[in-house]
Amino acid sequence: MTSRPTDLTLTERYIAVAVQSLPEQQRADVSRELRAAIMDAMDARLAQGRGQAHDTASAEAAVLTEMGDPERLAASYTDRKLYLIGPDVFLTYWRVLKQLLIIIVPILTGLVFLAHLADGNSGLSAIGEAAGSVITIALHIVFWTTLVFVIIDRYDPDEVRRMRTWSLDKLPDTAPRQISLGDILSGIALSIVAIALIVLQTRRSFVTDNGEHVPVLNPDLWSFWLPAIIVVLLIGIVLEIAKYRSGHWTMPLAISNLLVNAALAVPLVWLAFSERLINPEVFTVLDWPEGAGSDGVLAITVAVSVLAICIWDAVEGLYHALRNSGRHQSASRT
Amino acid sequence: MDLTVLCLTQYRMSMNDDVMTTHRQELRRGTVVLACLAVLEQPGYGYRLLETLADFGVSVDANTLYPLLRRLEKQGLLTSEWNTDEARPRKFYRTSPDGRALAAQLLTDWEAINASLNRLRGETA
Repeated sequence: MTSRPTDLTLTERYIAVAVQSLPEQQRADVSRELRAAIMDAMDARLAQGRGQAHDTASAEAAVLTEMGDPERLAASYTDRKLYLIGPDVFLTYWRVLKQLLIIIVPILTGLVFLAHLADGNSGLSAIGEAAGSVITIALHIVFWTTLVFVIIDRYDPDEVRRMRTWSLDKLPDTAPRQISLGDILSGIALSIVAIALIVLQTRRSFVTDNGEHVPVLNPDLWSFWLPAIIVVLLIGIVLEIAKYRSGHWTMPLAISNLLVNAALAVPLVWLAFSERLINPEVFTVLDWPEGAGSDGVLAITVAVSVLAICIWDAVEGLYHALRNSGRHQSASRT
Repeated sequence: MDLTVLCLTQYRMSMNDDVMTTHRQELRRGTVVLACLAVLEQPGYGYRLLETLADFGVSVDANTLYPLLRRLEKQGLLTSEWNTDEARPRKFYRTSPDGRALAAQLLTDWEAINASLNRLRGETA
């Protein structure tokens, strides 16, 4: 190995890296000090050792190796953070990330599935598309959430302080859940299936006339009632999430639940009995005139099942909420 | 200090060397600032301070000490001056009046801890 003493030495290269991220006005001073310190350390090593001239290189190498990564040294000078998310912010970050993933991934995946079905794809290919989108959705959520928290950790010390402080009302409720995740998921699944059926029956009905699909629901209702019912079903999904977050039936939750059920049942039953719910064509195609009419089999079936499901659901919520509030009152009296 | 050494020697046989090294370093880390302020009552430069501290048993890495000196200077606990009399110019640091006051306070705290530990040892013995 030929030595080229006039070229940039290892020491100079080391110092250049160490000071390049420092503020301009500090660089000269810090390099000068580091240079002296490295020379001193090399001298000390040479004095201890055999003191032969060709050992200078190995002394330099040993000193620089001991000082470690020059970027770490630079970070120590500037108090730069050598992590993306620090311990003050991490727990909040982790909680938020988990919640976003749990809530957004299933909803968006469901919507992707429905969108592909509505586009006329087969169920299998729609499932494939939805499964493929899970990773993309999750990656986006993880990336953007992480980015926001990294920025907060660096530039918003007030928020960091708020995240670090803990109070008793943040203590999670460890009482056994009254509303299980299974209840919630089946509730959400039911709403999604209902929306899917409403949308899909326009394209792939089980009633066909010479290969042409005949929608079961009255197409006139698309001007208002069917979109309205879809919106109510979506509100129902949001309510399920609120129920899960609470874990227990409260009076506001039970009343919201009652309202959502009423908003579903009342229009459906009214439309059924006023002979507007079912597409009249269905009865002609099926050659089933007895099915039609306000006292027809279909109207009564729809009304009874909708009423039964909605009343049961609403009453169950109210029953639990009333019992819970009774328990709270007796607990606060003792 | 004696107490720690005593405890540590007693458990040496049963304790992992790494664990012991970590705890000893942890204890010494808190004394680095006090040691710097005490040593730099006489003006000194980086590398010599490193050697002096090592001789006193306060081992600190070069890449920790040099930035620390800058930080203490910025906090007004040290003052600095370039000495260009010799062939190798060196930055000399010296404890400021604020630094001296802090060192006195840290020393008081240290002695209080030592006294408490001795009392505890007397009670448990």
